[in-house]
Amino acid sequence: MAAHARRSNRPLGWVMFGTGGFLVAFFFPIHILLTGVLQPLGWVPTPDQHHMLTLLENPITRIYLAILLIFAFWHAGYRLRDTICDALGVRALDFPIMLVCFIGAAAGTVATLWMLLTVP
Amino acid sequence: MPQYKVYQPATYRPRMSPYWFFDRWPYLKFMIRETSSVFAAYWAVVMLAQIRSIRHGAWAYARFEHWLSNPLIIILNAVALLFVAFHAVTWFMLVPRVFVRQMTGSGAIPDELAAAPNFGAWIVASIVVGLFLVGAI
Repeated sequence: MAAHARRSNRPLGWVMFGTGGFLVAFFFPIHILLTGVLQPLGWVPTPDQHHMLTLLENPITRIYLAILLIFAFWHAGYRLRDTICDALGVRALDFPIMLVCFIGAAAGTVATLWMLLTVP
Repeated sequence: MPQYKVYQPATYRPRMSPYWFFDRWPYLKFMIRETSSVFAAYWAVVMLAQIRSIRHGAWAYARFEHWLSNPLIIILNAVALLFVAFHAVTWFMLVPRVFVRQMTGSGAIPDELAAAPNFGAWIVASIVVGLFLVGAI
């Protein structure tokens, strides 16, 4: 009875996963398309470092990047855990895999906050 | 005395191939969607590296851009784009499955129509972010 009554903490992970899923779906494709493919090919203009720094100094940009990247890290960590377990057939190792994925997401969160809070 | 042999029945353990997701298209679709997480994590790290290079001055930013212009990295980014775009499309198509489909008494809304606002918002968000990324704003 007590075991049934115990609350699961899975919904918390789902909120991070779901929100991250939406943000990654909405914003990552355009970032990858422009920064990762079209600008390196020279097909669209690439702003210089001064312009990018001005953009980065704007608090709205930093809030946008913080929300986008933190949720993206947790989304990826949550899904990566199941991907590794399913693709490699190692569900028995779920706990250590989960630990590694979530530690990675936490490290990404700390790195994001540090990078954005210490912009010169 | 019983005439049958007494034995311990073996537990049923279905054997799954390591390549089970190649068996059917829906399985493969599931695995492609799951694998998009690898590329989401990769791109989040790239964005962190970009922020770091912007903070560290013109030389560091030029070095980051030089790294991005490596043909292998461009190919990797193109593959990442395909996976993340697949994630986006399948994510937006979830709307008809998780929201109430009966808005009027006349019947169910077609999947494409229910997901259309998501695709519209995706296009608008992409244009706005894109204008910032190319330095037009």
